[in-house]
Amino acid sequence: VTRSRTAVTAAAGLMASVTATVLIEVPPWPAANFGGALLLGCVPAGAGIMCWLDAGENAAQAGLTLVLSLSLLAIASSLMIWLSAWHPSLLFALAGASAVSCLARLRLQARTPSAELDRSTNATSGCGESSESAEIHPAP
Amino acid sequence: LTDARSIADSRLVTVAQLDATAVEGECTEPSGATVVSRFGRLLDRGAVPPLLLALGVVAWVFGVSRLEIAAIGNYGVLATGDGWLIAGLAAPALALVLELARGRARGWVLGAALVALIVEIYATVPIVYGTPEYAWVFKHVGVTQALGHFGHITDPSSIYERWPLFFAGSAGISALGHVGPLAYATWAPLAFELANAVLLFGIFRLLVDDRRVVWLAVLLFEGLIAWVGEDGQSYYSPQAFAYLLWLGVLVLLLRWLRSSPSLESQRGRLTRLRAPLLEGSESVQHERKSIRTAALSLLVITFFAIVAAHQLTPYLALLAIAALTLLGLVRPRWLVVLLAAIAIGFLIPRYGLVSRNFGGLFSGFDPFANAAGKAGTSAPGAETFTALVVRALAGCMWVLTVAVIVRRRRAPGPILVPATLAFTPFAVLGVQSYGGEAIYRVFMFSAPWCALLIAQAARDLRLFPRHPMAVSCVCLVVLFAGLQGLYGPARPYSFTRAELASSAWLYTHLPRHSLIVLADENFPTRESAFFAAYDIQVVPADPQIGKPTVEEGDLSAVEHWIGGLGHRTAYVVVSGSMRRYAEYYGYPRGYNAFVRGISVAPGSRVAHVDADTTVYRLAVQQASPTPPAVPSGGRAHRARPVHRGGRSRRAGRSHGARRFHRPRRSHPPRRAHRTR
Repeated sequence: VTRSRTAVTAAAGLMASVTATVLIEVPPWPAANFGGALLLGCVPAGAGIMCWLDAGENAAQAGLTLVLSLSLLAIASSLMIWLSAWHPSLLFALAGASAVSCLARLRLQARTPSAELDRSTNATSGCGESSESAEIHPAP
Repeated sequence: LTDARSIADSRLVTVAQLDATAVEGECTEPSGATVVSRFGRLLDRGAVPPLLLALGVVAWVFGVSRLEIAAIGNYGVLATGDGWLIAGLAAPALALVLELARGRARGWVLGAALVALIVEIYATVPIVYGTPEYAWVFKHVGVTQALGHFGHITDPSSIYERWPLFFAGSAGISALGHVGPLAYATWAPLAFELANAVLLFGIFRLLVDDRRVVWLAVLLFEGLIAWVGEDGQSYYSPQAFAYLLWLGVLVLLLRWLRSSPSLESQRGRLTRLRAPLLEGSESVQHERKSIRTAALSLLVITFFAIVAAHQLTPYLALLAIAALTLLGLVRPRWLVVLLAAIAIGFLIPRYGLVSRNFGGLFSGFDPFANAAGKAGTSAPGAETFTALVVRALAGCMWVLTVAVIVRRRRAPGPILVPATLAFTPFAVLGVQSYGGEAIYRVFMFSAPWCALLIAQAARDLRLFPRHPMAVSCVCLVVLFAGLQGLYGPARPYSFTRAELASSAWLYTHLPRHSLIVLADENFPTRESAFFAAYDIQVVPADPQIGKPTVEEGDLSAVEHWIGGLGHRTAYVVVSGSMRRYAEYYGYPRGYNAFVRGISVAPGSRVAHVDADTTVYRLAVQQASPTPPAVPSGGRAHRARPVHRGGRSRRAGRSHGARRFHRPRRSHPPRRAHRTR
């Protein structure tokens, strides 16, 4: 399951990168453009990192993906402001880098045995359960 | 559920006796017992919580559709809303608790109930009004617009632009999405709160094995912090953004940088001192060095984002990390030094601004004064009631948390992390009031851990899941107390679309460098990228901003004050939001007299009018050398240019601040009135 957590993150990051770019660039509707921009800000950059790290819990994985994405986007934007070089389209680089990272992660998954990959992404150690159950079982 | 079944037994058997059709597989049972059995199975299969949730959402939608802006009174949305709205708000919380009480609680039901609850809490007012709440949100919108439009910092003396990370990020998204921040600022509270809930759920799961406790803690958190949500927890603001990032830092810290304090291998005074606190601690498996290094790098990056986004949050974060490190719960030790260096290194070139606005890094060593919050008003009725509710809620939360910790005093190890995080924020009150806002930040940073500890205690005391009704009642009380804090002041702090359009009119029709005079600051101004090109002044008659130096009911005094601002023409704005504010808080006194006077004053003519706003163009008579009489103890207000200086004490101020604070009949202002 943990193996799939990082893989799902990678797949989500890849899809988000592509979808965000398309939504921003192609449709003439502001709502779609904004949806794409929001997606670009919330998913790709963080997914590009978190596809290599297992937070040990789905919510933590998703939350960290969001936080890292927002942090990196905001830092990149601030750098442009500080340097007086405001070119927001450079933020697409985040999507590009994320797509590369996520692709690499997915390729590695395809090539590497499961147990070895789990070790490399730190999937089986730490607190929290390593697997998700759909139901909460009765308390003792 | 047992009670529900017994009630069902007594009521349904009679009806069921009419049903002669036997259910397949139960042909041997009498028909009445069959129906009861079916109902029992319904409960066992868990149809009740999803059904309750679905009905609740429908009720909420119906209740919101029946809300009318004009009908919302000073006691807020809850007092105005009908039973549909109340039932709709209560249903998700009830559904969540009932689901948790089942033998096998389903994640999708719990998740849906939590999402529904958060959506209902934070979407009600935006749906009704359709504009961002709180006048100070528009300032944030304006800074974002300015950075996006000019592409660089235009005013180095603005504290917002010196901590630009949130605004720059928002400007980046706006630029890519081809929409202005006003288009989405309305929904920022909902977005922030959903994100906070996801992160908190993840953090709680890293700390607690029992998922029931985790869900209950998140539910309690949503109720506890609802009132403080508008104080920076979740509206469109740098502090809400920084809080979200802080939760991310905590995930990194608690997932990869935990340490097991092995007492046997350590010696020294500190180890002996903390040994009783670590009693009962569980060992934590250490991560590989490469993973820890990666986590450290991410933590440093995220912390830098916090540092560049908000002034106070990094220090609250630093306090918590330092405390965890001191207790040996987090490693490496040098992390604290590194983070402190980042925070202080960023602060040093900006220290002048902090010093001017907050009295420096250490504004005062009086914890009680620093915790006193902002000066309130003396309006009896709605404001006092709402203030009492949220104070009681906060007080109960901390008292209960202390009780939980005391109860676990013999083996506090398992609760040491949340207990530490719950109370380290108080340290900031020892040195800084943050313009009166520090106490609300303390509450925000403390609330999640208090919620977790209380939820754990409920489990330990077997209140949960054995007594779901009792737990439901507690959750509902907490939820509605928080909602009264959030919705109570909706009338004064929400704006109509007409008011927003009037504000936009100012920037599209008035010449640059015009003087705009607001009868009160509760109006959506400064949302334009060009706000700094205008001289925006607020009549100094509201004690919540500073010492009143003008009696607003005295038109000649106001005109004299305007005359001292150095303009030949002034555009005076009065609006429905200002009237509602004056009615709610009782200030500025004389607002209605001012509105009547300005409409018939010589030299005044209407420049713009709509349903909620009137803008008067006033020919200014230059001030005479002799100032008019000033209210006792005051001094003549000398206006200063707005937005040339830093943030005022009230910049980013919270309404909850006022509600939390005990309204006083009179209060000595700490400083003379400042304009923003």
